[in-house]
Amino acid sequence: MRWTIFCTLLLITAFIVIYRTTTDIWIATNGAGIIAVIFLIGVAFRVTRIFDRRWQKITTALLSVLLIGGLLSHWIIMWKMTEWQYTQLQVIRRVIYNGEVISTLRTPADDTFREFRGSPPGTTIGEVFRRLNPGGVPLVDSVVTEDTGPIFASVSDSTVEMMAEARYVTGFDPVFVNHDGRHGLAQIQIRVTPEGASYDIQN
Amino acid sequence: MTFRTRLREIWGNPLHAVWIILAMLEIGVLVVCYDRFVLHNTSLWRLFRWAIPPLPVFFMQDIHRILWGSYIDAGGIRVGEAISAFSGKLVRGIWKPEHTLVVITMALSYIVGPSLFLWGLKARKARIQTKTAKPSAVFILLATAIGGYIVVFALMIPVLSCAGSWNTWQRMKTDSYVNAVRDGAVASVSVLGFQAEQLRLMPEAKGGGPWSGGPGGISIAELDRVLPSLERGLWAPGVKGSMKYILEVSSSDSLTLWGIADVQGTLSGSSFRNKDGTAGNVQVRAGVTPARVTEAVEN
Repeated sequence: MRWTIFCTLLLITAFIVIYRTTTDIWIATNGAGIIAVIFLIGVAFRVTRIFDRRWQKITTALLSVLLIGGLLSHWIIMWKMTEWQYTQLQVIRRVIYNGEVISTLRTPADDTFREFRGSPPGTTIGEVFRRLNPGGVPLVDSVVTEDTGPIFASVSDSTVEMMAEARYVTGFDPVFVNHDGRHGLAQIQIRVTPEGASYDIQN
Repeated sequence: MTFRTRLREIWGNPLHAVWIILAMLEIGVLVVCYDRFVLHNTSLWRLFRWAIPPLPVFFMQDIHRILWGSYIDAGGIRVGEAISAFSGKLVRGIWKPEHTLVVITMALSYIVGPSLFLWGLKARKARIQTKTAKPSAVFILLATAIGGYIVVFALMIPVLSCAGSWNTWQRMKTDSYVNAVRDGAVASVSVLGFQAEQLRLMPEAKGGGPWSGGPGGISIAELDRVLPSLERGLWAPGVKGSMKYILEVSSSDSLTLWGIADVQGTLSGSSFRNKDGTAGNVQVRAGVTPARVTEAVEN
């Protein structure tokens, strides 16, 4: 009885403390689960001792191994499967975000490059970009969406860089430092030079 | 031993009924198993369901789901978090009723239930050996039956569900890989189309072509500078890869640009030869003329 109460309190405390610390449901569940499995092994051992005959002890022990092993297997499958589903949803979200941003920024990049190619010699690509976007930093008011997030433009004579940083969509690298100092968010840069336009999925 | 003698024995000492109840629970589990994998709620299932009158609570879906569902509920919370994160509404660290359910069912299923079962078995043995009246037989019977019920559900159902869950997960991964390859090919077209458009725009200011690199034309080296080295594409992890470009000047006003990704495409290695000599990889093609760009997925 004492062990039951002690282990119950320990399991509940472990779950709450781990969850409060990590805010990760699976770390908390697995942490509490380790206590539960250790307790179950102890129970299985004691149940085996209740029986007097050898074949009964062996059967009980084998059954215990099967049950606890099966529980662990199913537990791990559920853990890995839901973590995988979580990751997949983030990937799908990132792909949507990347496609949306590239599609959004492709038009001003192409327009700038096309206009530059048709301009008289001596015209810089920065001048062309400023002429096409007289309001300064382009796009912020016109095409920015809830998903796209802020767009930063950097213009020099030889290069125009437009950088889109996601509001909440995560990128490949969780420790990547974004343009505005946040971490791990998706970020795409489109660069227009006299040679053409290219993009780089930075995170 | 005749049935009547056995009945008298049970009447005299209800502890003997523990094994009957546990045996019926086992039968119930087998019925559930049979239903899950074979019958899928056919009329035979309903027959079984009503044929075991001592176990109505056994079939109360919510109760038995709670007993073996602690970590499954944790998985449900995780998937819920994924959906919230998808729409940017995930707030971590908030304690919800679902969390309480997980921790309570975990304690109930893996500590309290097995303890009760163990206590019942030990008390039964002690009572038989010492022939004392306490604890009462009915009390021991209840403890063992309830503990056994919890143990059966908390431990046996996961064992029986292992194979099914494993198959489901593997199938999901396979389907996802196929989708990722298909999406990757579509994304490659987008990437390639972006680059092809740059190529098309280059001579536009000069009245179209030539791309052959002759006097007034654009050299291959100049065209190559348009094509960036993509370290990261639109690929999903597991099938993410870089794309290799091959540029060919077909005529003075016609270019062909191939993009070959380093992941397997629809056709396998023996069925498809890539432009760069590899086999079976995703390959997309863009034909570029001064007038337009045409794109196609070749594998």
